[in-house]
Amino acid sequence: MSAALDVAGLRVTAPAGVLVESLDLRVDPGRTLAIVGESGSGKSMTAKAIIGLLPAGVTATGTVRVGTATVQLGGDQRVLAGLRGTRIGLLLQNPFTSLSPVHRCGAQLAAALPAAARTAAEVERRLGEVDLPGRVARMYPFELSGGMRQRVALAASLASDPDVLIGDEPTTALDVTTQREVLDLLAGLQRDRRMALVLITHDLGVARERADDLVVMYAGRGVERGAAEALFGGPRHPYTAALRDSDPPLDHRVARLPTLPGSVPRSWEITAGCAFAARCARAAARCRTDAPVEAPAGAGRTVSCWFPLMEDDLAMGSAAAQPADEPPATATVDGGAPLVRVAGLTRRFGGDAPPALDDVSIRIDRGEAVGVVGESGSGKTTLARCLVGLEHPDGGRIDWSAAGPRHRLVQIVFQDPASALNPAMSVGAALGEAASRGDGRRSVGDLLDLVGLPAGYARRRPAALSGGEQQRVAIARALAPDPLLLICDEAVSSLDVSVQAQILNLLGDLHRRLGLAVLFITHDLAVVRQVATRLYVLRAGRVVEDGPTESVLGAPADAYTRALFASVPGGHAVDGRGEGRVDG
Amino acid sequence: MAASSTRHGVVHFIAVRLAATLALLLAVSFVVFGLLHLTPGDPARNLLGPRAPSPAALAAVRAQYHLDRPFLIQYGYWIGGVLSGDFGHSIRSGEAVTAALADRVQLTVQLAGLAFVMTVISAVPLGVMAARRAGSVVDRTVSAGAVVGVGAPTYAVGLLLLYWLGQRLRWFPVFGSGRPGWWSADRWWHLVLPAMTLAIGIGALVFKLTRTAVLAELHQDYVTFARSRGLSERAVRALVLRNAFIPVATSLGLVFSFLFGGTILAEVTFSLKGIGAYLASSVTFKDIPVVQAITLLTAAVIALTALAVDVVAVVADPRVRRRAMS
Repeated sequence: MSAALDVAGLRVTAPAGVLVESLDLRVDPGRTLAIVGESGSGKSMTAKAIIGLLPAGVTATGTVRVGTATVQLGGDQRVLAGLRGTRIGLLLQNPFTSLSPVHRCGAQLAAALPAAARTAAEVERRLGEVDLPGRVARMYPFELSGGMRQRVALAASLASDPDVLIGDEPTTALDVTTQREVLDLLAGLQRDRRMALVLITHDLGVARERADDLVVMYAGRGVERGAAEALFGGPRHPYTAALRDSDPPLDHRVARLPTLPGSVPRSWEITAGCAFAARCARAAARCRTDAPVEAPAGAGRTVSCWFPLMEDDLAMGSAAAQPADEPPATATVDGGAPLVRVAGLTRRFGGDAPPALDDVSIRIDRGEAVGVVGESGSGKTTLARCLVGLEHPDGGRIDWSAAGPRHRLVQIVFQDPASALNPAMSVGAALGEAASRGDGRRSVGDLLDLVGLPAGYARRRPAALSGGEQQRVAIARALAPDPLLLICDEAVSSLDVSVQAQILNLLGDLHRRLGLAVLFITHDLAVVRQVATRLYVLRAGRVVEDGPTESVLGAPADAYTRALFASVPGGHAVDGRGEGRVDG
Repeated sequence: MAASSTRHGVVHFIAVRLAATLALLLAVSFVVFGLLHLTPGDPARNLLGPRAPSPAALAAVRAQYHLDRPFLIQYGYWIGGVLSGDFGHSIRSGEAVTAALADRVQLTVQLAGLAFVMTVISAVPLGVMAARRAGSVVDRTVSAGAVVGVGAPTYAVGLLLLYWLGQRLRWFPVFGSGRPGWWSADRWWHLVLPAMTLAIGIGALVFKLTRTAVLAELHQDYVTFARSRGLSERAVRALVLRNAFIPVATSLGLVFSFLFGGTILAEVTFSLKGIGAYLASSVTFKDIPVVQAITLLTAAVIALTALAVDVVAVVADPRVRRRAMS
């Protein structure tokens, strides 16, 4: 069978240096290839290079074959332009920006239809294909939810019936239940059209559940490739194994997530040897001097590693991620009054809109780790903002059993550390300022030590830190006034999976060592399972279910919780981690 | 159904904004009328100017302006006159303000209008072109020129144009306002150089705004997505321009307000009898009725331009339309 898409020797170069180094890809008609990697791995640039839409200043070389057409990248741009839409399409991550805000959905969909088919009936039929009613044609994107916008974008990207669709994190911005719907829809359309799909994702669950084949990218290089199931079951490359292990499992809690030190290096900073050598526990002298060559590793598999993992190694490696028997330690439960009791909390925005919070009651004990799970619009962030006093409820009570000003009781860590830290302020100044609001017990050096950063970081500015380091600083700043409760509002959602594991471990340590109560707000059930003893499930401003984490996630009573649980990609597939189920 | 309710909503929005504009102008007229009383000294003497006032003249002016009546009644008489086109008499010349202003308003409107058209037809296309070829030699050349245009003082540009195109090449008249009239070719001919002078400074600004707006749109995801679907460059350009139109139109409203109030340097440089120069000399001579008339007129132009910008935004941007109607 001839490939639908065949990319050979792809190399992408930016003014700063090489972004993608000699990458080969191949997808057959009707099949799905997932490109998996963390941020900085070059996966998005790969997508843009294949379709010839790189940003200004970034260039690509290599050969792209789409069906019978062959294009030399870096040559005549018009050849590739002629293939766009009809032979190869692209679906972008953010449905809020990928459609023009001032044009109606129908017109945007029709624009890519073949000239003869630009009729209202055809637009309606295409909308029907993505399960949208015909009236959406007359609506503007801002009048639709994120999931509906992404359906419109999907219909638009398929308007000229491409043979190959590249999805660049197409469901990352969506809620987990919406993500499942869109991925199912995509799979159905792909099957009907025998379309090849290149799925670019950082989400291992999505890749595992949806892909036939997998390429793992690290710092602009493909490090391992093969059939998805085989690759997840028995990774040969230490990076693939580490990535898999640091992804928190949905079905059980692990005592401590295995982590990788550091973060993904910039691809152009790697001058010699293996890109992964600096973070690899197996690295030897040869790894630092000679770049590994891609070598066969079983049926249809290759790995770029001098010392690939074997089955014995895998059995040993997974020992680190043994399931924890006991629930997460709760430092002090003195049986007294809860630290904070929220009763009947209500908050409305605007007149007719349903309330953001509708009679919400929760309690958090001293030193307890509590989770709040919900999708967008559930009111989980409004709840957090009410607790820290950033938002004033319209009704209900928040009673603290401890005395003191609010900032000594509770602090918050936000999702995006880059915007939560003042870019003009050094780390030391930011921590010093925050500490001055407490009793001055914690020095800047102590705070940095607490979150595992070297003391020298006090002089740095946030821009000089990686995302994970920035989030550590944000956590240190929140701990500076010595609060009794730390609220983490999607605090690990924007981090790469290997960094996310580091931060989750850090939060667990702080919770135990400082006897800190933690309110963990997230959309991610696997994450909350690792950190929280008790759980509240929020939907449309109401608590639909609550109880100990193990019982809520082990046997969800509410239909919504069950739907949420079932939507987690790759969630119910029994994986090779823990429980001795490694089968190479 | 949706379309007709949308149209109804737009009409309703315009009606509300028009009422608000009228209320604003009413408030401005209070302040403008108050000028007479805010000026130090006896209003009657101020209205008679520097001449030594005879008791009879004082009594006459008091009666004419109802200065012995309460403030609100005075205002009522005054605003009644204004609405019927009577701003009183100039202190300096004694002629009716409305008559004195008619020609000057015509000239300033023509000057500002011509400068505005010159700006729009040159700066907007240049801005679009520079954005589409960002970083190219063309872009860098025009952008560098725009920096000079923004920085160069109006009178200096005016003198330069006068010297080259007027004095040396004798293409355009160097002095005077030409024969009055909306359709007088002589008048428009006389206004080319002053309008060009204004358009160079303002156009540089509009060029930069347009370039920035178009460049910002070109970097949006929807452009990448449109290209990935195989849309022609023409179709992509239409998407981009339709989006960039909104910020550009908004800034053009500001530019027009600024132009109308900012013609004075060009008027002085080219010896034109417009309202800018007239306002300056009237302030100097404390010619209060004239100052009142010009201030109110300028306020009206600015308020109506703002109204027009709001209406354009509501028509052009569905998101603004939704907000305006909720």
